[in-house]
Amino acid sequence: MSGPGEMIADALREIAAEEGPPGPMAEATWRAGPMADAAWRAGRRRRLAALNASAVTAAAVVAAAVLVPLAAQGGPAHRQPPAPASQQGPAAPIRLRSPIQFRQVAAINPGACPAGSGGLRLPDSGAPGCIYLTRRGLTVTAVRSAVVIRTGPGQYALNLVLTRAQRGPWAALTRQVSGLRSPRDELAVIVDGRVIAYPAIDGAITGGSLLIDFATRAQVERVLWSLRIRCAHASGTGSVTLVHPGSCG
Amino acid sequence: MDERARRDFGEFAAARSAELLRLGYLLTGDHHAGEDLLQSALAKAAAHWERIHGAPEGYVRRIMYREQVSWWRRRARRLEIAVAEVPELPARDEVAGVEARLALRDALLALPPGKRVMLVLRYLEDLPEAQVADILGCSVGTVRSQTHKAIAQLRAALPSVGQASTEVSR
Repeated sequence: MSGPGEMIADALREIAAEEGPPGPMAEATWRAGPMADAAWRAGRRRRLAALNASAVTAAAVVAAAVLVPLAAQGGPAHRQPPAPASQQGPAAPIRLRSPIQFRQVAAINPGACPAGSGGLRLPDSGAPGCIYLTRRGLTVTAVRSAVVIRTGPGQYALNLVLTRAQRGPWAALTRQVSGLRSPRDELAVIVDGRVIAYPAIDGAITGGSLLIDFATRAQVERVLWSLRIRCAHASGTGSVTLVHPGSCG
Repeated sequence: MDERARRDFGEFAAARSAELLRLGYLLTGDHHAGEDLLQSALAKAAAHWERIHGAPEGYVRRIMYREQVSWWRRRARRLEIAVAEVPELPARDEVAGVEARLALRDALLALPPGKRVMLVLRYLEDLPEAQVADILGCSVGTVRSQTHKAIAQLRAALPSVGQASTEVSR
């Protein structure tokens, strides 16, 4: 290797050594367990994402979780801290570039979807699968808020708060499908013709706030890309709130 | 069988995560993003664990490199500055000083991720251009030109930082 090459290699080695806690192995080992578990689930389990139907509010979730800027790697990301939720008032709805469809699952078959079957491919997983839907569902074109939360190493959740107008139909839909025989108790979440999750619904969700879990950053990024929520405001502490595109300047 | 594969996977992750996290940090320049990159690569490795059982680390590293470059390709819409000639870095003695080393570190972290991946593969992993091209799924010409541009960018960053530190010392 030539001179500049050695110099660069040394400098790269020094940068790599910056990663890691002062106590060399302790934290890395602590992190490895949960990371491996989550990665295994993401890679192996048929069901990648689950809808958390707990009655959380967006504000409560934001307060409890560590948030990170999804735009952080993109260079000149917006760096202004977001206004606290309490100061934002009754925000105008965020119009999504692509609607989010929630559709009741009719059946899930192993293997790829036959051509012309009308089924949709299951989200990334080890084994291919094909999901069929009923006509029952709800299409969301705007939300009150959309916040991405980093819930653990490499794990993210998208918290959506539905508009007031959507809450009634959403509660009715979740009430209708809950308790049905599996997989008819599941709602597929579809963005841009792709199923991103198909959680089972345990009961009516009346609060209008839902949390969609993703096991990898790549998954949540794909969804954000599809929704084209393109403006992220990041604070100095590493939080991000996805806000109305019109207010990004 | 699945339980055994899972245990095997867990042992691999426990043994190699610290090292792989360092690679993630090096490639992304950010602790969280580095973790995320590793997490994503581990998930992909888990999906094909039985097939890659023999050499999982190489497989995971390869995914990390590819993913970082494709992430960068998807998002990078930067204006590239063309350079006419192969730039030379300052001689090794000139970067012996702490300031210069810090400047080189900062310049490396300021590189677009795709270019940094090239330098990691070419100089840290010490791989020939053809193998780098194979890992990243691009042409040898792209490896050559991106490496060239990355070095040009480092070279451009180093003198200015050197001047600044001289002014401070007066």
